[in-house]
Amino acid sequence: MSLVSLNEGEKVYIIHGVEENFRCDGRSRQDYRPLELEMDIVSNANGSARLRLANSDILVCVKVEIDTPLPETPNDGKIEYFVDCSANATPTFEGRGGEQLAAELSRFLSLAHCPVFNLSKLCIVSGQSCWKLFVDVLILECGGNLFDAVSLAAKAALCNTSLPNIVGTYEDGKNIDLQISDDPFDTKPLDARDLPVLVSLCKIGNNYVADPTIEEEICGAGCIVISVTPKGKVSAVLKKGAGSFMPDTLNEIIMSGSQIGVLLNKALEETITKDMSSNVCKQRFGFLK
Amino acid sequence: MPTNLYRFQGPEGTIPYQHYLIDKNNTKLTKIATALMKNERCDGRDISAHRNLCIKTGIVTQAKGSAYVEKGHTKLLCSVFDPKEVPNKVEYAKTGELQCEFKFATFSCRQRRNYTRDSEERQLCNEFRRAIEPAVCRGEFANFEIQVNVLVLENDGSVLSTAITAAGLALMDGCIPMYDMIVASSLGIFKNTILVDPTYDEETLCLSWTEDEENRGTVMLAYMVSLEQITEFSQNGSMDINMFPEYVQLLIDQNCKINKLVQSAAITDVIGHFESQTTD
Amino acid sequence: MNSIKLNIQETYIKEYLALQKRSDGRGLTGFRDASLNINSIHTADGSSVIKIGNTAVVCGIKAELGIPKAESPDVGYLLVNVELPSLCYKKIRPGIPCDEAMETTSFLNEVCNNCKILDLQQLCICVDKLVWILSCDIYCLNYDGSVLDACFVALLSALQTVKLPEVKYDKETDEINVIEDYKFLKLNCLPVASTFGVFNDKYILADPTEEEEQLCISKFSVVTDGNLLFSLHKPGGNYIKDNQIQNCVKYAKIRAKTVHELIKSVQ
Repeated sequence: MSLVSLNEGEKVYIIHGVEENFRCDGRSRQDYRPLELEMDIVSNANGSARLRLANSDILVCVKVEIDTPLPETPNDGKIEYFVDCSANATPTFEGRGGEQLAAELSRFLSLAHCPVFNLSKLCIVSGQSCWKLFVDVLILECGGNLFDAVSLAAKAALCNTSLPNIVGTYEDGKNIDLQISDDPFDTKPLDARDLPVLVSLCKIGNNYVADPTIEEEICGAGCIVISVTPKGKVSAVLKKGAGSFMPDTLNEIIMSGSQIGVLLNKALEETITKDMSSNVCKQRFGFLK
Repeated sequence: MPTNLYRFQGPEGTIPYQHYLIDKNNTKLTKIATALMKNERCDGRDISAHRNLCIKTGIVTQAKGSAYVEKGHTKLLCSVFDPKEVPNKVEYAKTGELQCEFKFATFSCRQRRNYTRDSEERQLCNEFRRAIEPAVCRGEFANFEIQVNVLVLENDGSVLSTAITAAGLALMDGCIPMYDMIVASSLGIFKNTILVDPTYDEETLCLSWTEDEENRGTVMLAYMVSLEQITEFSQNGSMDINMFPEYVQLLIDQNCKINKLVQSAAITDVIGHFESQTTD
Repeated sequence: MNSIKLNIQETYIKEYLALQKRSDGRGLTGFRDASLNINSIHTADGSSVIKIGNTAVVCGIKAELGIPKAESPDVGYLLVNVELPSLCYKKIRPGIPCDEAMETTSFLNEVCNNCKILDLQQLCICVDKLVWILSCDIYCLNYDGSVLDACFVALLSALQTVKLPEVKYDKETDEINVIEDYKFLKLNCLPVASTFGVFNDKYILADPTEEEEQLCISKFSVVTDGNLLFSLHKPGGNYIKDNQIQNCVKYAKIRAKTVHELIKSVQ
C-alpha cells in the first residue's frame, strides 16, 4: 500500500511489542491514535468534514442534487460514494495505483451504509423525484487505517449535511416542478446518526490490534474490517490481506471490534454534537482556513 | 452507458420489460417473506438445507484446470491457467500472484449487465482473490502469476461462495500446489430466521431495508476444512454481535458437508487424470 | 520451445493425413459430434448451450424496450456480440475483446443482416417510439477450434427459444403496459456455418480443432442453410482450388441439414 519497507528485525520488534501489549507509538492493542475532526469547512458543499487520524488525512464533501428514482424503488433516494486517492497521499497512488483501493473503499462504504441508511428519507415525490447524495472522499495523506478514517469522516460529513427545503410543488400534467427555497440557510439537517463506522483489526502474531499503522499492516497476516452501528449492530464485515483465521479468533476479533465500534461511535457523536451546538465562530486548524 | 468501440451496442436508456411487471415481482417477494415466517421456502427446501450441487471438473480442455459448478439455478465456470511471468514487472516477488477475473455474463442477472466491469464485480473479484489466496502455495512459484477466471452464467444467489468452491476445484484440477481444498457457503438471515444457501430473491429480501431491529443480511464464509482455517469472511446487513459465533459455526458445518461432495469430485478427477495418463 | 512442438505436431499430423485420417479418429471431412441444450439459463429470455467436440459456446438473449433509430423507426434491434473471455483459451488476455472476437462479431452481424434471419419489423411495438432490443451475447466457454460454427448454432437455437410478451403502448400518455401473452419469434432461415482448414495446400480439414487451426495455413467458412449459400468467408491465407471449394460447399450443405435436425430435436 505504501512505500514503507521493513526488514526482518523491525518486523520482529513490532510483533513482539504487540505480544507485550505495547506498540511502537506507546499505545496498547485496543487504542486508537489521536483523532482530529472539523466539520463544515467546504462552503460550496452541502456538508463536509475533514478528519485526521495521526497521519491519515481525509476530506469528505457531500453534495445533493435532484434526481429521478429508479423504477424498481420509486420511494427511495440515491446515494453515491466516490473515493479519490490523491497521488499526494502516498507515492504508490501515482498514476492508477490507488484505483483498486479507491474502488474497494467506495464499494465497502456503500455496502456498510446501505442496510442501515433509510433511503426513503431522501424521497421528495414518490416515483418522480428524490435527492441524490454524492459523497466524495478525498484522501490527502495516507498514514494507515484508511477504512476507519474514511468511514468516520463520511459519517461526520453526512451528519453535517443539510437538504434545502422545498417550498412548493407545481403539478403540470405529468411533470412536477419543484421550487427550492432561495434562502441558503433554509435547510433541514439530514439524520445520519445511525450510520455505522468501520473498525479495522489487524491480526499480528496471535493478537490483534485496533487502528493499525502502515508498518503494523505490513507485519499483519490479515485484517478484519467491521462496520458497527451506534447500537452495536454489525452491518458489514470484510477481510483484507492474504492471511486466514481460526474460527475462534475470528469470533473474538468481531466481538472486540464491535465493542470498540460502539465506543468510537459514541466519541464521534459527542464531537459532532459539540461542533454543531457551538455557535461561536469556530477556530480552524486544518489547511482550509 | 459508456460508448464501447469494440461491441455492437443498442440505444441508450433501454428498459427491461420486466419493470412493467413490477407488481408481480413485489408480490413474489412478499409471498416468499410470508412463507419464510412459517419456515417454508419457495423451492420447498428445508431452511437448513443447501441446494443440490452439480460439479464437473476439467470441462474447459483448453485451460490447465477448470470446474463447472451448478448450485440450484446458479451456474458458473472457473478456469485456471499455467503460472506465467508477470508482464512489465521489475521487482522480484517472493510469493506468486493470483490474477483473478470475476465476470457476470450479460444475461446472467435479472437486469442486463454491462460488458465492462462494474463496482460489484470488482468487489466480488477482490473477495474472491482473498478467499483463495491463503489456500495456494504461493511460495512455489515466486515471481509468477496464476490466472483464475470466473464466468457466472446465471446468478440465482450465493454466487461468491459457489465461485470460491469452483475455484478450489479448478486449482486442484490444474495441479496447482495447495495447502488444502477450499469450500465456501453462505447464509441469509431474514427476521432472525437463518436460511442456508439463499437464492437471489431471498438475498434481496434479506438485504432490503426495514425499520425493525431484527437481524437480517447475508454472511459468507470460505473455509479450509482440514486446516480449520477461515480464509474469507464477509457479512452484510444488520446483525447482532452475539449471533456471530452461531453463524460461523453453522457455516463451518455447512462447509464440511460441501467438502465431502467436493472431495468425491476431486477423487474422480484424480482418477480421471491417471487413467488419461495410462492410455496416452 | 513452441516452434519445436509445432514442428513435431506438424509431422505427426502429416503422417496421419497421409492415411486420410486425423488424430482424433475422424476422416478428413468428418465433423465432430454436437450436442445442444436450450433454455437452461432462466435469467435470459432465450438461451442455448452448444458443444461441438470440445468447443463449447453459450448464447443468452435479453429483451429490452427502447427507442428506435430515427432513420429506421419501424425496426427493432438485433445486436449480436461474441465474447471470447480469457477463461476459454490460454492465449487470450483479460481486458478489451481480442481481434478474433471482434472479427467473429462483425461477421455474425453481417450475415444476420444480409440474409434477414429475423424480420426486424416484428420487433416494432410503436413506430418511432418503442421497439424491442434483443441483445444476443455469445460466450465461448471452451475454445477448441471452429468457434464460428458453434456461434451460429447457438445464436439460432437461442433465438428460437425467445418468447416476447405483448406490449401495449399508449401514444398520448407514453404509458407502457406489458401483457403476459408470450409469443415466439419468427425466423426466416437457419444459416449454418462450417469451417474448413487448409493444411499444406493439399488437405482440407473439416471442423478443425484448435490444434489443427494452429497448423493450418488458412481457414475459411461456408454459411448455408442446406439449399442456399449465404456467405463464403475466406480471410486471406493461401489460395484454394476451385473444385476444393465446390467440395466444401457440398459438405457444408450436408452438415447444415444434420444441424437443422439437431436443432429440431431439442424443441
